[in-house]
Amino acid sequence: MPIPRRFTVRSGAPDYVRAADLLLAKIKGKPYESEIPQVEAKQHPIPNLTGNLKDATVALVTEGGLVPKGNPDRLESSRGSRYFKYAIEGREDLRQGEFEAMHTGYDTSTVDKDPDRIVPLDAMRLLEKSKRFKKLHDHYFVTTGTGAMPSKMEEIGAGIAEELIGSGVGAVILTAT
Amino acid sequence: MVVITCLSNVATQVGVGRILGGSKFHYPVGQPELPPEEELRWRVGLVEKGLAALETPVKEPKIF
Repeated sequence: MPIPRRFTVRSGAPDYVRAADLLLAKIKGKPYESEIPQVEAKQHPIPNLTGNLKDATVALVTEGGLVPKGNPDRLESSRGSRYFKYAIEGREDLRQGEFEAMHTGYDTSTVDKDPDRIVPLDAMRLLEKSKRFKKLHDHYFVTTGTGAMPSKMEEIGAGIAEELIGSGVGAVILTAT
Repeated sequence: MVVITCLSNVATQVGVGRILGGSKFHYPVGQPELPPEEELRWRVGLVEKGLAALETPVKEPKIF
C-alpha cells in the first residue's frame, strides 16, 4: 500500500456541512459514501499449533511499546517504524522502574507501575514452571501500534515472525492496547 | 498466536485467528484494583485461557 501524503482538496462545502449531510443521509436510510477510503484487510491463513503445547516454546509480543527504562533503542511512541526484542531470561517478573511504556495511544501510568500488566511475564513464568508449555522464549518483542501504517505493521509482523520461527518458537501471545 | 486485547472488533477485522478479551485497553493483562497476589492469580487465569486458545484449531477469527 503506498504511503499517503497530505494534500489540500477544494470541496463544495465546509467539512461540518458535509459531515452533517452524511449523518442525515445515514439516519434517513439514504445512500451515502464515506470520505475515508475503506482499506481492504488482506486475508491470510491462520496457523494452528503443530504438536502439543507442552512441547512448544511460547513467545510474548506486544504493541504496547514496553521498553527498558530510558528507551535505549529510541522506539517511537506512535507510528512505530521498527520492532525490538529485549531479554527476559532469568527474570521472574517485570519491575516498576526497570521498564516503561512508550505509547501515546493509552495512559501508560498503570503499566509503568507494574509492566507485567502489559507483558505478562510473571504469569508466564508460573505456567512455565508448571510445565503447561516447554519454555518461554528468552526475548519479548515490542513495537508501538498507535497511529501505525498497516503496511509498516505488516512488515514488522513478518520480521518478528521470521525471527521467532528461526528461534524455534511455536506459539505467541500478543498483547494489544 | 492469540491476541489479548479489548479491541476485539479491530482484531476480527484484521483477521486475527484467536482473540481473547483483556481487562482494560490500557492494561489488557492487569487488574490494578486487586491486591498484588490476587492480581497475579487473575493474570495466570487469563494467560491460561490464552494458552487453551492456542491449543484450539480455528479457520477464521474466533473470540475466546
